[in-house]
Amino acid sequence: MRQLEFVVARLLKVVLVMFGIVVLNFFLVRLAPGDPATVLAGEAGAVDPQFMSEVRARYGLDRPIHEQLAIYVRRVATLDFGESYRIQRPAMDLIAERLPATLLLSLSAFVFAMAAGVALGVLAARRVGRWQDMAISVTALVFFAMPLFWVGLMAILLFSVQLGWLPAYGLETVGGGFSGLRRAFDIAAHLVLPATTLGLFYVAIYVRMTRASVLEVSRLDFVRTARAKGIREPRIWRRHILKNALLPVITLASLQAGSLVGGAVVTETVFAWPGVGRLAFEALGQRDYNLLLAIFAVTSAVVLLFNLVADIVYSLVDPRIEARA
Amino acid sequence: MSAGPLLNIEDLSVALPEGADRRFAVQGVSLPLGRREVLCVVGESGSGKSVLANTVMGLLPAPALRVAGGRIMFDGQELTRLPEESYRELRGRRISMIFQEPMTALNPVLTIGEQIEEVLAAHGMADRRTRRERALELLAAMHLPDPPSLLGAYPFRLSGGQRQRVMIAAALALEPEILIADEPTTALDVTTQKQILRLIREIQERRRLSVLFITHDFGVVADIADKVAVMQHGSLVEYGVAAKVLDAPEHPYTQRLIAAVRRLEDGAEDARPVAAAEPLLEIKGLRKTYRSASGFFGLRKREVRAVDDVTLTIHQGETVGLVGESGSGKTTLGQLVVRLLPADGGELAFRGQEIRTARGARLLGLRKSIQMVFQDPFASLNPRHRVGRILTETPIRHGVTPAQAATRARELLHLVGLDVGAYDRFPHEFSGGQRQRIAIARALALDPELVVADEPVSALDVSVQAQVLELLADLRRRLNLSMLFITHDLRVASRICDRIAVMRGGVIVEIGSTRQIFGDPQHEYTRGLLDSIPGRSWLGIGGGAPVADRATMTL
Amino acid sequence: MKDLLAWSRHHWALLLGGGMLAVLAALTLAAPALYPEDPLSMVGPPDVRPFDEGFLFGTDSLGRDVAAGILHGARTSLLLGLVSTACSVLLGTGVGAVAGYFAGRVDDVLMRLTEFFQTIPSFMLALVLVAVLSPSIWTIVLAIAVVSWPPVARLVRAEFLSLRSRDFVKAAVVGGHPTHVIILRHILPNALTPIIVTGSLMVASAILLESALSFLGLGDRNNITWGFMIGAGRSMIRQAWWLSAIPGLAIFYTVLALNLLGQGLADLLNPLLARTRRA
Repeated sequence: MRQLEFVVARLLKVVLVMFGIVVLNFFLVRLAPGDPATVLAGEAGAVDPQFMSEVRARYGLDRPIHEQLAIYVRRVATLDFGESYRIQRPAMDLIAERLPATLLLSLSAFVFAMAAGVALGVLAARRVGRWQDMAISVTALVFFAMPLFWVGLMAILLFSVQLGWLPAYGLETVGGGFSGLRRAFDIAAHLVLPATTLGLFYVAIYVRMTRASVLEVSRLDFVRTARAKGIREPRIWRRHILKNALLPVITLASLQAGSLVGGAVVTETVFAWPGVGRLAFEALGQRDYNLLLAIFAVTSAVVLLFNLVADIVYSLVDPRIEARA
Repeated sequence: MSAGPLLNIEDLSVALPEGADRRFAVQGVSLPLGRREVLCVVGESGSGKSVLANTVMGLLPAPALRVAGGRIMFDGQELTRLPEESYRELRGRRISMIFQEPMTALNPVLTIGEQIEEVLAAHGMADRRTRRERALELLAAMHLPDPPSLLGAYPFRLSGGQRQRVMIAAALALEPEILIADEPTTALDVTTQKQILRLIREIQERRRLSVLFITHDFGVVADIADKVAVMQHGSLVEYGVAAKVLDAPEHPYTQRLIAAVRRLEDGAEDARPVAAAEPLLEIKGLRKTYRSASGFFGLRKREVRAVDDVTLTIHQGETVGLVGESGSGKTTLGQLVVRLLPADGGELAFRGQEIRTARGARLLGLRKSIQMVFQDPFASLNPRHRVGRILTETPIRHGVTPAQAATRARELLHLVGLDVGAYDRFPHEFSGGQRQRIAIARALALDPELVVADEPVSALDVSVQAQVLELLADLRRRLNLSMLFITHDLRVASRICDRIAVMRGGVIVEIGSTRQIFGDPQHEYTRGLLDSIPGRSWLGIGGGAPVADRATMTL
Repeated sequence: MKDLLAWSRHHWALLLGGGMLAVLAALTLAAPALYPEDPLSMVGPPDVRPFDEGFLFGTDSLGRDVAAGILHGARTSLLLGLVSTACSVLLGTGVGAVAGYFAGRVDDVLMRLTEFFQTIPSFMLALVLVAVLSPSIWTIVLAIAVVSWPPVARLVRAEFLSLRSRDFVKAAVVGGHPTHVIILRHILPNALTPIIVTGSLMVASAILLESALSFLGLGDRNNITWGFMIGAGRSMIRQAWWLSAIPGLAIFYTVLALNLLGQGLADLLNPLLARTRRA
């Protein structure tokens, strides 16, 4: 039952890290130049002194700092991130509305990146030194060097403006009035460009990692042992090489989860995708810091959840986890 | 068909890639392996013995090494020209192989059961239940405990010896005619080595197996071989019946190697009278426990008593051997003495000064008096520093002027038998033996009274081992050094130590003069260790109580 | 001569990356001479296509010369990338060295901290930091440094953990050398190779990160940057594609050069290291 123990330990870690992020958030507001109340209220505060004192009271800004922290943590624990002063709605509501779109985009991009990255990485490793390997490695190098938002813009230019194949903006056709399966197809068509754009960068990362990992494992002693036992090559690849080589790729995927969410912010901005990233961009433009910090906390939580899933997957694949935990 | 050897290597050459230090890894080797015969191929590192084994198995690392000439005949087939699929069918079914490193030779994420059963499946045993039964049978035959639960276990739970047994089980699953064993016991402790050797011999006799056994250790050869082949720089220099090669070697190289081994057993000169000399290092009730946290937030604590109530005295001018297997705590004890680790309890005094609590100038003074020589000469010299800096840096730290330190460093190089030109070169320009000489010179640079030597010759080839041991013996005589000599190898300890302390599980189980330990061991564990020395009867070691199973060990 | 040829074939990535960077550096230094005017000022008619009317890369809707922007932007990008990487390498090396050398509790605390910074979405943190502290060159450097040190710390820690248990370090301890000498003169020089390789790759990701911040409008408004140019040209993509395409190519060129250089350095230094360790 050490596996359960491992998962519980990781869960506790998630809670601790989340607490850390909330505390960090709290101090970020106070790090900003000027009165925290001004920061929290954004540009809205500049005009209205009465509004400002209201903000001060609500956050207990006239009390000692540790009490302020306690208040803040308690509020966040009940998912209360305060209001967006521009839009006059609870920040959490705004985020919750946008979260599904972001999850759809991030997960599609992740699945695409993982599948393509691992497949191409394995192919490159099996053909190491030959033209397939060269082609894959050079392509990975190229996409690894391109800024995501620029790839997105160029994709729009090519596939939307020039060729007219795919829609460039939004989650679905405005006023299309589709429902059911047709709506799903419509969303899928809108998803292709942003998900591919976001995914390509990570394909490049996973290709490099998978290739290196496969090459390293295929040199290990137990692979030689398997050959000495007369095991057939397909099985050697499946059970001996891949099963071991994919472990570091899982770890990497987990580590990259945070960066993927960051990439989503930029991608959503380019494609006018109505997700949390787009919301962050809007909050940025309106200096709505409270909303921005809330988005930061919520996306962090999503990343932590993703890490947790990755850890659990890892513990299922690697029997040594109980020795490591 | 029954006439002639089972496997015949004919004029085999294996080419090294361009730019290597020689053209062939194996050059023009002809060697027969008879039916039901154990053929040992012996050589030092770089002799090409492992490459030979891998060539027979068709497992050469593809573009780097390739067969350049010759044939390997097995049962009417020429192996070097065999298509890959036919070769695959041969491997594991008619020719099997086990390797040196049992820790890495098993796939960490597959169960033991799967790794044995896959051999059966690969060679056509389709029925799951039959495979499972066969695997159980094999594990039992390897004398492994609790086969049913072992089938579902993962390798990381098994010890090195157990893993090697699993490897052998998988190799023998289909009753092959030939077993190729590439240094299968080199990574194991002596007592485990003895058990594995006995197992291989037992199976060989019962199943009428032919064994191609690769080793660097003539002791192992004496224990297991019917025929011996000696290799040097890729060529075969001597081949013959074991008894003859061992006792009357013809080729000068073989003579030199065997002399080096035999000289190890000559025994030290008589223990010098040390009782009268004053005690230099006094260890009393010394303790060190390693604690590691694991499991749920580290709530599950594990404790290992690495050094448990150890008492030991080293007198002026005396060399005390500390002998034990891996995990016995011998290295920890050495590191406590030089204050690389803090002790948990007990006393540790050098000339009456407590080492454990020394600080500042007093600690620095102690460091000057107690120096250390490490096991791996490739790791113990900073790769980015020239030899001159390595030898002068520490004396300068202790207040010697740079000019004096440089002069002294050149003297030291001469003392350890190196050219003065070594002063300006980097460690990687030297061989293992030369590096160990540099490491010894570094330890002597401060004119210490006590040197702690942790396995100083274990990483070296036999012939180099003998030279470095001679150097140490010579230095200790000339400089009146005292030494704590840590080793896993009783043969090595016997060569240089006045007294030997045998350690197991953090405890010194027996201590006595070298002659006593070898001639009249008191503790059962010491007797077991002595008995596990490979080639013991050939070398004529001991006179300890005879052990029941000796008959199966010797030829 | 033949050796040199073989050497260059083996180290093509290093040579290509280095060459590309040398060209970029030369152009950057020449920028004030080639385009003496402020790249943010109007110098020609609006929306000139590339190669038309003497404008290599055309002009934007305000008649600003794109080529001038590219060259002047190079300085900002390179400087930001170098300075922020230097900061994060210093920070990461410090944290990693202390954690790896002292191990135990110190290591536990520092590694939890590192993991914490590695877990939180780094781009979001950078974005929030720059937004809250108000955008300027220094807040951008700070933000990039804060989010990019953890991998360095982990790398250096791993190196230190393995090096401190090596016998030559133990020999230095037994020789009585003080801790700072052991860390700085015995361990650090042996850990330098991977730090340099990682550093050169980090300059590339720092430039990418900076361009994304600028693209979102979080750049320093006093200096022109490539990310800002793409962001500004974005709304014109249907009419004037070159406004966003060309600065993107500049980023691509720079980042590719740095990645090639990093990979080339790794190839150059690692076998050397392997040889000194094993030979």
